[in-house]
Amino acid sequence: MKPIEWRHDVRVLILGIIILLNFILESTVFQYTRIFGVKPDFTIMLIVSYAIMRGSIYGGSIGLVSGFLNDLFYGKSFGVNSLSYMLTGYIIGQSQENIFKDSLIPSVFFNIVGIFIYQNLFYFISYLSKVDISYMYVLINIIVPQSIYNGILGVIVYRYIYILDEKSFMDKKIY
Amino acid sequence: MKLFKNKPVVFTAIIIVLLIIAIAFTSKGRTRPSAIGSVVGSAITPIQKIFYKTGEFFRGSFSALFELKELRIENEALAKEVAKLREENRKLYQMALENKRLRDILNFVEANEEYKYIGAEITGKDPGNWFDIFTINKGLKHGIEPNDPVITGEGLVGRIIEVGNNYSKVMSIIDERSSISIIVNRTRDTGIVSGTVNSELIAIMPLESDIVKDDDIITSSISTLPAGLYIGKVENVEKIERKLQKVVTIKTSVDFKRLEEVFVLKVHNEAD
Repeated sequence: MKPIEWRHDVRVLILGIIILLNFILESTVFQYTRIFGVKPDFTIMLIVSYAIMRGSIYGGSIGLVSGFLNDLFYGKSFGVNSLSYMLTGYIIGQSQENIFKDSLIPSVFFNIVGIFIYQNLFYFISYLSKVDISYMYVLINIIVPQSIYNGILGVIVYRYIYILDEKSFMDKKIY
Repeated sequence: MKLFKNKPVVFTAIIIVLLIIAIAFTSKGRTRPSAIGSVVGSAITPIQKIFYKTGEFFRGSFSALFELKELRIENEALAKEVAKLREENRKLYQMALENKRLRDILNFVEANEEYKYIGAEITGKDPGNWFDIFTINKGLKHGIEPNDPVITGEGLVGRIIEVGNNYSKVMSIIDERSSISIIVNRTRDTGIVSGTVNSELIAIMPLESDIVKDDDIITSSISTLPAGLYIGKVENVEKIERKLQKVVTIKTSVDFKRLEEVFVLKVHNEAD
């Protein structure tokens, strides 16, 4: 395992800003992206993009911070979103070494997989905290349409994040 | 001891355990935000408001372009409706006067008549697809407390579940986790209404209850919410003999997709 040398990069600062902006937009402007009541999950797109580019640590941390914000504001029991987003990022990040990053196809695939992992974890945790929802209903009406929607939009997001991440200033040290 | 050399795995495991503990402790819900939540919330709410307004503005301008044709037809229909409603209003006003007179005669003290309304704007909605929670821009500073009902002119929207300094969280009645005690206005049958994942309202009523389509549903007095708040009309009644109950679908009077401004209702205590 390579030593982790990322703590002082400009990348971390910019990622922080992106996560915060994404959270604000998710709860406001992105509400208008609903088609038949289903909203694509932009947080998953961000997590997946970084997980397949830079692995579990990035995927997991972005998931943890985004989920944390979600839980603070819109969660009832604290930690459900944090846990499911973080694990999603961590699991998808495991595949990082075997992925060809210039291609766009992995991002479609992993966006669909990402939604499946996230929603199932979310369902499982909610189920354990006594929220009673029919699984078949959730599968047909939320998970499947959302994964398709996410797969389509995820490519675009991945492409722009990839271009941004390749910029040389991202590797500069803050201090 | 090779496992402990793999730092990310150990870190992840620790965070997972911490989060599970957090979920376990908070699964019953909280009425005050955590310390961090409060700080972040106070900073982020004004920004959210700006973005939300921007979204509303764009939606408004786009839909205006497409709706110009329909507007004239709608206008005529509305003019007719206004005339009809004026007439109805006049009748109702007279009935209200009569009602008041009769009530005075009975010396009836209506405890819940004195409401205080706090106007609030919605600043953000739950990003997920499962639940229906939103935040408003009034909080502890403005005298809002947990369990206060939230309404619009049309009817009941939900109730406050958590209060920050300058924002609070509202759980709408169509949320999966919300359940409210209700009463059928016509027959005084009681039941419990709860939301579903697909944003519908479902009421469970006893099998012998007398309920038909278009009955009005209001909140009952055995509830944290004040009695008599309007919820909606019955859309569909389904009898389930096996479970000895009726499943009633309710069409809410509030359009939850187009909420912008709400009122928080404060009931004055008699001691005040």
